[in-house]
Amino acid sequence: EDRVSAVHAFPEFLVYTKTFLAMVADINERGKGVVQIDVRGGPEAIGMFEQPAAVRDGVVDMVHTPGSFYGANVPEIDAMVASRVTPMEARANGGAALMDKAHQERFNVRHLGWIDGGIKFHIYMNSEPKFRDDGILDLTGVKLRDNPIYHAFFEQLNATTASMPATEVYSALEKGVVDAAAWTEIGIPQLKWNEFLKYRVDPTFYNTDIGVIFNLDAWNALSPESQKLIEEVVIEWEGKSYADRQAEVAADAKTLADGGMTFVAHSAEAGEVYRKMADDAAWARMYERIEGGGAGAETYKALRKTYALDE
Amino acid sequence: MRLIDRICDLLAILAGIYLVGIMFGIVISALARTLNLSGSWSSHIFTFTEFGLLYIVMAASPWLVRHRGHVFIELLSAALPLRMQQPYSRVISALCVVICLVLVWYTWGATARAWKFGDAEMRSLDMPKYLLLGAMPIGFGLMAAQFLRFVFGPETMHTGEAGVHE
Amino acid sequence: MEWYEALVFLLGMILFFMALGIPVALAFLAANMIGAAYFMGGRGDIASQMARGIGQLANNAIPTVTSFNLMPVPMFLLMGEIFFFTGLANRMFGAVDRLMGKLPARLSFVTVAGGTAFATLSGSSMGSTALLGSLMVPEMQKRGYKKHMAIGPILGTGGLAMLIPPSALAVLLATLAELDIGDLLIAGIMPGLMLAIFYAILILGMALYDPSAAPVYEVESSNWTEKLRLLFVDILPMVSIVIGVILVIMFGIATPSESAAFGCLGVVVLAALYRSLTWEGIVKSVAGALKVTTMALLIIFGSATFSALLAFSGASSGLIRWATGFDLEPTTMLLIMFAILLVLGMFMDQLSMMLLTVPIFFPLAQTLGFDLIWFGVIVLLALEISFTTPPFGLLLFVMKGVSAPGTSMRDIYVSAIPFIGCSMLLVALLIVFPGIALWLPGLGQ
Ligand code: NA
Ligand code: NA
Repeated sequence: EDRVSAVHAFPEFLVYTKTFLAMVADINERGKGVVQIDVRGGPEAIGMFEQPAAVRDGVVDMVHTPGSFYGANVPEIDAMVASRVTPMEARANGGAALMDKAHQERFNVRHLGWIDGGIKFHIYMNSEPKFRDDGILDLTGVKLRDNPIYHAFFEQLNATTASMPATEVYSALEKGVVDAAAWTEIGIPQLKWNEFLKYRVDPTFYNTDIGVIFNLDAWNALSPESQKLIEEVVIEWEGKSYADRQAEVAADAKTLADGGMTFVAHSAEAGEVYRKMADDAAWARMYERIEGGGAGAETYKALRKTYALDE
Repeated sequence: MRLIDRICDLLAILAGIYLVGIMFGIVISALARTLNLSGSWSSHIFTFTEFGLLYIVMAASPWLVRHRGHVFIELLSAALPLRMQQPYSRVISALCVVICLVLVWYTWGATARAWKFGDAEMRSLDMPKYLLLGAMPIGFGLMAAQFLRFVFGPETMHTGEAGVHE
Repeated sequence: MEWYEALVFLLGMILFFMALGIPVALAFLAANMIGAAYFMGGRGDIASQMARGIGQLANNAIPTVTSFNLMPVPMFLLMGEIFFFTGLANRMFGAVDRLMGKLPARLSFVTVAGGTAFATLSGSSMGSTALLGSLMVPEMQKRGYKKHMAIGPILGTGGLAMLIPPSALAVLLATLAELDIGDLLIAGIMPGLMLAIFYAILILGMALYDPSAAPVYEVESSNWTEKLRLLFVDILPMVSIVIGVILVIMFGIATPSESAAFGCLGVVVLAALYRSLTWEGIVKSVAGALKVTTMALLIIFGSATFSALLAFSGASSGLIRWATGFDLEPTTMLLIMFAILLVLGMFMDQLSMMLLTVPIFFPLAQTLGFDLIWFGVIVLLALEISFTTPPFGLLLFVMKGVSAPGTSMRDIYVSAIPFIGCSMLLVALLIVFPGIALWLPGLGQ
């Protein structure tokens, strides 16, 4: 029987961790006598941002983490951030295989799957959003909680960005230190930020990029049965968790609307420009990091083809 | 030794300046945000106030060793008979040297690995991780040198005063 | 390794190294290196296990030490030191002395009042301890107070910071436990104020019991005009800094963590206005703040990885699951959970403790039929107490750093115990009268 050690990036109360733990339970149930995964804990066991390097270096065998946490090491991850396809589509059209290959070459890990995919981001604000003449959101004078992942996009919207730990956002919103924040479609009611954020800007942009990565040497040491089982189960959960989260997206939207949040949408054309602004910022960052004009040209093109559906 | 002391003093002075810089940095970036003047530059100030905490602790620790500023609990050393206290304190100081040297070796290894893989601390900018980790072998190395003073020098680290002390 | 073996192994190492007389930070690091190589070393020979484990230790230190949440510590330290070395503190407390006349232990009361005010604004018990410690201890020792009259109240009020809102820790606990944030914050107000009152009663008792602990020295009596002058010239401007910092937070100009930097700058400006800003004073202030900041941060550097090892090895989760696995009556279970928090708190930081215990404690509390807001207040109190529990509470080491040479760890331990007793009494009262926590949030519904 193979033994695998694992950690997860987020605390247990978040749905993403619940998905991961359920998936591990599934593997352990079906893997009796073949493989057992031993979850050693979350961010209290290994710091959230240190987990990717820990799995690469073999401190643990398997990690459940957003790809953005190691985006400097595997810039290809931005294709998932800016993806226009679902995890299942990316698997069918060969995008997932490209992603796995990049992980093996650059980071000594396998990328087994994209879990809880299909969750996108909104900008949430405490005052009514304003729009430019061309119909795009105008954040001039709006203090927006900053995040490295979407900073370039926010700059284009002319926001005043403010850095602070996530733990301070609640009181920062309360006191008006910031008046807007970007967050996923789900989770705002749990954080209680909707006590202060009264407007949601539509459409969504970007995707969560949470995946399961596995140390390559530890992977190669597994028996073929173990490998096959883990691969299979993770791929099953790619689809299952996608469907589960879509139900929660609808439920949270209802909670927010019932709680008095107003959803303000771009026009259809302006919305598409808005999404493209965000996507282009992510692709541009990748282009620069992987030398999309030189050595990485082929990878860049292949990723655009599979994740952005470029012709 | 005198050269090392000067280096430690210099690092402590730089740490002090950084500390004052953090104060101004926080005030400036908060004011800029309030006046809607902030941008990437103020996010970078935030990032470097955070990184500053690591640089400060690594830069000032060796200086603090010399001034016996690191808290310790005097239990065994005070219980020993008087003539044993000095040699005992020197042995413990030597143990501190060993601990620091082991840390130097492995934090250096971690620095080299981060450099090799191009690891980055991704905040408002991608800070190469070796620039952060690299502070550790230097800091612990100088600390080892300062602990050596209490192994061979005229003074010892522990005062040997009765009771649970320091 | 079973969880209890891991627990004994890890705790044994740290106790051993500390007892030897190795500086606390290095004792943590030495224990960490061995523990990390063993638990986090992964596969392969000893050499590669050490490289992996200790490399992980170094990497873990980065997010822990370079965290903005720690910023109140250096900033409040700097603020306190500038207050002291520019002589503004002396001026203010001289005036307080003359205004309050013969009230025994008046500076201890000032500490409790000031501590409560600071707790209100900072939400950082370490920052608050740092400020009061660097500000009050030297002034009180100069005036002949015994050590415990200065140190005890400061350690006590440092803990008020997380009960009285704003409190980043309460917000975090409410988020992790999925409680109503507003309710938990409001629920902390009454217990926080009661605790402050207990402290005041305790100080009065100590001063009456041992009058020499807080000397009744002669102060010049002064007439009314003189008293008004003292109030407006020597006290109000200093107090205005505290009020200014509160306003900076209330108006959303700065977050609580940022506000300390404004306080620092405020004191510098004030000192300049009083023409007491000297180059020597600045250098001494920065050096003093640097000393304690470095000492405390290096301990945090070490203890953070120790927390991680306790979690990663399964020692802490094993302890939690074992102890909560008994089927006992609710109050006993509550006391067990409380005890676990106190034990873990000696070695772990508060965030790690919450991450570990919340997923187990809160569902358990629910099945036991506890009100979760009330339970949340008790958890906050346990977190607070564990911060000052001998021998490892971090606030104790911060206190050691800011107090005068010649103050021993024993002095600090002895000073802390009566104030821990007050917190324990509050917990007992909360168990008997849950309304102390629940009355205020209940009004809003
Ligand atoms: Na507070
Ligand atoms: Na503690």
